Amino acid sequence: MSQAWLSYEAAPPPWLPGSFFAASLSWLLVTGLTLLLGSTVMPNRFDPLIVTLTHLLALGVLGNTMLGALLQLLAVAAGVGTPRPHALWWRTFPAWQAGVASLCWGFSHGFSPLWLAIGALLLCCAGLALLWHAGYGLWRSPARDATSQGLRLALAGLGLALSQGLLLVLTLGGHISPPFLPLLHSHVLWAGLGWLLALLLAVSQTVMPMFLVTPAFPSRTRWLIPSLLALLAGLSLLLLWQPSTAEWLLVLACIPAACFAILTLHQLRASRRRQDPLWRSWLLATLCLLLTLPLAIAGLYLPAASSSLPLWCGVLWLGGMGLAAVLGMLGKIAPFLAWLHLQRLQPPRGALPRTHGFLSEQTVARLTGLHAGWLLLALAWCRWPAIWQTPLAICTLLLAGAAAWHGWKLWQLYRQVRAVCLARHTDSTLSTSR
Amino acid sequence: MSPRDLRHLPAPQPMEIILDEADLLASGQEAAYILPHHPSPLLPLLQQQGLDFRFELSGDGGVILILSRP
Repeated sequence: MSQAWLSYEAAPPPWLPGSFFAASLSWLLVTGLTLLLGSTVMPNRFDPLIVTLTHLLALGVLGNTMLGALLQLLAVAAGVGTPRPHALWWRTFPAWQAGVASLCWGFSHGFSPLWLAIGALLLCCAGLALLWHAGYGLWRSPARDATSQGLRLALAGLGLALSQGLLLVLTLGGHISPPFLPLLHSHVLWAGLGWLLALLLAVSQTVMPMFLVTPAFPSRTRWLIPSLLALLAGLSLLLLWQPSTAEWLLVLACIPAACFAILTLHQLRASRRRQDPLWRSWLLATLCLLLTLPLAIAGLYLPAASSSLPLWCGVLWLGGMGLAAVLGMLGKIAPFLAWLHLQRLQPPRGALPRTHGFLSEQTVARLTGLHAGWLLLALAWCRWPAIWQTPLAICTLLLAGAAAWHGWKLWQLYRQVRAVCLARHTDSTLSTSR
Repeated sequence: MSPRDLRHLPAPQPMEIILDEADLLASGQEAAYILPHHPSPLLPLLQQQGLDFRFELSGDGGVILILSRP
């Protein structure tokens, strides 16, 4: 971990990442309701409901948690402060949520050009505000560790994924006319690999040694994200100029992903905390990543094999790898932030619970198990949507409800302890003034 | 005083243990811990408790944190 640690005054207040985490769970509820109320889909990746669900999961659920975690990690790993948290929140949070809502509304209502354009513009505005804050902070930061370098590159991936999303929306609206499918492939590559996988790679180099007591990642891991992004840049350019050649080379994108998976499995094997729920979440995420690769290759070169192949890839990548990592990380980060913030308020002896008192490991393990069940249902739904849509919707609502309930209990406990701390400070101030 | 090795514990357990024990240190008492790296996030909290601290190297890749209450 870098030594670019901030003063606590410059670190983001817990409500800043917390609001993004809470929004993430709200979007998971919306995803469940969309499944429950939506018409039964055909196993077709371009079905409006499937495109809606993909973006609810990618931008609403995963996107919010990733942005919240990013704000925290910028402070912890790279020493990037948040001097005006309210201003940053107003520039990013409302626009991001409104953008997700508009975009998904547009997808679910016959790809409405107006709603899609509003959504994409709002998301780009929020993304730009965040990129400005993070990019400027990272540019000035002295931190040069693997995580800080990885964050710089993952942010570039986010910027490209968002701009290509905007171009796709403008293409659908008939405003511009670039080649649609190559642009779509490029958007998927940058969003799935350049942003989600790159951020996961950057985060894991700090998180795994810290929470799972693994050895530090080997130094050559530093080259994985730059190589991944260079490869994606090459493939994107090739997709635009020589789409037929590029389609045969898309398989190359699997190589850095496979390297990361093998490296992560090696780290998990060396972990001294195999009983930790985060270990299981990370294992599930890695196995989903590995399973996605052959399915993606089959989907590319044998599209006639099954129309469910692209759906399985999407479910395993976003709902498997992404959601497993996100739920596992939330189980660690949220109680730690609550504990750390209260610790700074100098609570009276015995008033502050341990971090596990805010969210027990058993609770996180149960959520991990529920998520694994949800994933199996989602995979079955990809093949037989008519049969499995309602059970999947109910399971999504259960998962979101359980996570939100535990989040609410954590928040309540935080407020109780905070009240005790503040009361103590008030008493000591009064007695001093007397 | 032999330092207590906390390197096998996941975050934030070492922080919790050190802060709990630091709270019980009497004036002039010392406590030492071996950590996997320089504990930057912990230092402002120790300063807040009015503790002095210094560092040594453990010789096997760790950092020894030595706490004392003035």
